[in-house]
Amino acid sequence: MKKLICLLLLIPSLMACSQDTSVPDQVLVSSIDSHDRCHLCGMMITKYPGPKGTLQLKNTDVSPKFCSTRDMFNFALQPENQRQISHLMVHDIGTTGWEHPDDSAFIDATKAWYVYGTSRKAVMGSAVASFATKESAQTFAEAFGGAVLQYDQITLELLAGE
Amino acid sequence: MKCMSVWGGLLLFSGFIQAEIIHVDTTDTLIMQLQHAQPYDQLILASGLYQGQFIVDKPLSIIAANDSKVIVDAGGIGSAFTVSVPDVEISGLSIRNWGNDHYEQDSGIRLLEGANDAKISGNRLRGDGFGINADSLSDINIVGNTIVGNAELFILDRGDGIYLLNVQSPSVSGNTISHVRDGVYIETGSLSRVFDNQFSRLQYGIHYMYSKDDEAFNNVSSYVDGGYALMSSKLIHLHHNRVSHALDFGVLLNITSLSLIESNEAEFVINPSDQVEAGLEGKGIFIYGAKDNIVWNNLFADNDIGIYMAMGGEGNRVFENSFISNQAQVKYVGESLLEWSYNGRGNYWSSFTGWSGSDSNVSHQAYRPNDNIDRLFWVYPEAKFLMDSPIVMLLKWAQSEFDIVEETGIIDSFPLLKPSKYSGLVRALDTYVSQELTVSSDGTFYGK
Repeated sequence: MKKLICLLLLIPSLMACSQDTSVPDQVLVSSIDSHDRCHLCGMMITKYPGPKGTLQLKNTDVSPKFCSTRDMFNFALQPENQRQISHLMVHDIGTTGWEHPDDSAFIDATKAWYVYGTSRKAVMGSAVASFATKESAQTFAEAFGGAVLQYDQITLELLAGE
Repeated sequence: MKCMSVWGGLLLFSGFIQAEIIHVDTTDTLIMQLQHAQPYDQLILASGLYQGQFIVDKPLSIIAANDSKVIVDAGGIGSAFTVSVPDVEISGLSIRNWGNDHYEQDSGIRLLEGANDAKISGNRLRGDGFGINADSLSDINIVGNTIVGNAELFILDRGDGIYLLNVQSPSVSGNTISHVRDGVYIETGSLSRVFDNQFSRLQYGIHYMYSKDDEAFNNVSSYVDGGYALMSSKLIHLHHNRVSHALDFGVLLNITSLSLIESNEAEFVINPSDQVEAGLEGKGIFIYGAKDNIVWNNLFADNDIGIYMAMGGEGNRVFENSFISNQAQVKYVGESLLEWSYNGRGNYWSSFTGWSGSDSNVSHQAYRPNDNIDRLFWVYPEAKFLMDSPIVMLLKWAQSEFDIVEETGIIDSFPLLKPSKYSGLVRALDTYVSQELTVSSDGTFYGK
């Protein structure tokens, strides 16, 4: 029986091997317009304030967009989605406005700095404010409160308030 | 002299309490009477076309005469009626062709701060922007109106049928709403009652944002993107509503807590695309980032997925629901093992073929709507081609017999053997009720 289990558990690693040979993914240039809807909650995105997120799914042209960085993480951190994503982008709110962030400010989410627990309001719960530099995140946290975090520290447990 | 002033005072007083009935039959007389009528006068409009944008800044009733056809046309700009004072009634009118500037909140009827206790009933509204729009006020009644948006506009470019921002204690009932963005959109409000409404061909039937202490029941949503969206809200009692033929979800619980989702029916929530993107399947109920809610006695039938609980939605109580013939009864990919029964009663699963040892309708044979193998394929969809292979079947059998690895997913220790008979509407809705003008005078009121 153990052998069977081991065999089945091998499947993921086989998949991983086959994917390593794929073409390096293009870094997408994303834009969100007033007709785009949040991939997770379905709402219109530009109606609400705060930094947004977008990501690129592997092996497809689909790049889901999200009403908030929070909903992007809520999608991207789901076990069934984690492995399907090649790139994640968030607004650098240090270089663009909070109310209507400009899409020229999209940066790689995995290298961004985050402020969680701030008094500034986004949508779908507490904002996950995103920044290109640690310094701009700290400046923001001093002004509006919250903890400065890195990408790996944003977890579903954190977002669920546990 | 003294006598005279007392007499004058009495005259004034009697004039104040005696509402006059004023007949109006042209645009000019309507404008004139809106300026010169006394508070609480009734303007009775005769059949005809009234053109322009009308300001109501004193308490008046603006009512269509019996058996008349009163058309109010805003000429494609601004709002047809803008109300800024309490105690205004607008009923029985056909209002059309207002603007579609969402920043200016262009509406058929726009209720500004202070327009408390407005009664909007039995009107037919057809236009691009918002049907009825209310901001920062309380205790309004919106009853028996028909609101039709512009089907040619992209759904997000339309206004909402009824838009309530920072409104306390509104009552919204018996309205028929179609081809708008959201049927009823409620933001930062409280104590709303939304019931007996019909929603079709729009985004969401009812959409709550940052709202609390609300109740919605006996509403019907069909051919919509989603039925009832509860976002960032709490203490919502959503019960005895129906939704069918939705694309995305029947009910959505998102960052919502302390809410009771009871006796609703969600059927045929199906994404018709050939290639459905991850997460975009039709969901009877979709729960994520929400906790401390109760999902009880609902029917989820013939959906792509009966209930989709994203990781982070574990802290909700799910029992005595009926899951019937959903493509996937449950999708939960999280790492916990969740017990979906309460006080010895679980849910009804059409896919469960267990039995009861006694006469009770409860089986003591636990049911697992999905297992570790399902989870494996959700996380590694590339392996789907193996799904029906002998090795996977063997594994499934082995897991069920020997508990080889630690269990995750859903377990129902007391599955019900019969579905509940008590979900769905509490009373029938007449499709044409809102088109009869008589509704305006005796529409249903609730909680007042």
